[in-house]
Amino acid sequence: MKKRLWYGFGLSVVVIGLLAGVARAAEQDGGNGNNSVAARLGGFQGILAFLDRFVVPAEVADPVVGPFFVPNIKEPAGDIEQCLAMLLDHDLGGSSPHFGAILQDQHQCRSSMSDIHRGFRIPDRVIDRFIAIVGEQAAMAGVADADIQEVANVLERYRGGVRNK
Amino acid sequence: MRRKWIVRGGGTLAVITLAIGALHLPAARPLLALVGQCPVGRESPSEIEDARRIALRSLRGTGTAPVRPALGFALERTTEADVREWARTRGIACESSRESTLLVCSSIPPGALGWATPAVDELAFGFRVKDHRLVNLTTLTSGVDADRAVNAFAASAASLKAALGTASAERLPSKAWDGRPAYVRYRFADYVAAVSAMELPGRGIVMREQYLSAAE
Repeated sequence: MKKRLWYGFGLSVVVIGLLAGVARAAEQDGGNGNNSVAARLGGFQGILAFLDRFVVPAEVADPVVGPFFVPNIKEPAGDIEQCLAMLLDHDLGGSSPHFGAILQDQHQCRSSMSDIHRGFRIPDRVIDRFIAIVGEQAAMAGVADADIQEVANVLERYRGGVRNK
Repeated sequence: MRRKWIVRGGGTLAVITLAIGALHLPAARPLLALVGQCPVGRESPSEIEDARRIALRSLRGTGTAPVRPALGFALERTTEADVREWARTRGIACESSRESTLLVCSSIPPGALGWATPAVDELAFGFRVKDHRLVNLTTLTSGVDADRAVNAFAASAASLKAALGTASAERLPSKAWDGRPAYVRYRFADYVAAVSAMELPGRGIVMREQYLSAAE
């Protein structure tokens, strides 16, 4: 009887330990089994909230980049932020579509950075400002250095499609 | 006959105006995107200023700044004409846009912004609409070498600390640049200042400073 009790107690400890381990792992990867940078940033919703709360106000406050973001601050979590959040989520290992998503207002996120930025003639320095502000805000928000670098790498990949169109 | 043409012309103009207006409604945005975005699409200086005011709600802090350093310029006092004169006497090229509310000066030589200040790629001045006085000043320099980034960052941070005390948030670079993003930020009800440095892929270390009037 005593042996059975000890056996049952031991088994319970093992099961509880396993459950705690699984819960901790789920917490670390955003609860969706994904241990990507996107998951650590809270997936699409987390990235969208970060853009909306920190990045857009900081971009708008820059005298050079700001005017490109005027519509975004007037319309919280607007089309451009949603499309950018999806793109970042996708490229950082999340589950959002890369492009083509149709938003609630029927806006469709486009695939071509060149088409999106055509006519704006955005020079390198504006892109530097944009990425530097994203990185600065991420650092201030406590995002891990390696994750900030990944975000910068993703944004940098689109420089060619944005510059001087 | 003349009246008929006036009526027809007016009618056509009204239809075109209505059609362009309708294209800007949220429901018609995909259609607008198909025809290649809004050809106007660039906000007026007043709209940009309104947006900046909205942004300031989440950027400003509390309490009044004891002083408002801005690289030797005076927020809400320096005029566009003052900056143009400053640039002219130093042979610095500047370009004005957005109805003279934005002045961007390039290739600022060392020392132009005060004793021992480093060279800056781009210095952007934002002026308010009503009286064209300075409310927003930013610098941007790309491809800064590691030693220069550490020294320039330390100098700017020390200068702000001497004037304003402890920062609202800061992470200073180590003596030898370690690749981690660095920043210093001060937030008051009437003033925001930030200095940051980070490494961008293919662009080297990018340094940015911002001095912003948050009074309005």
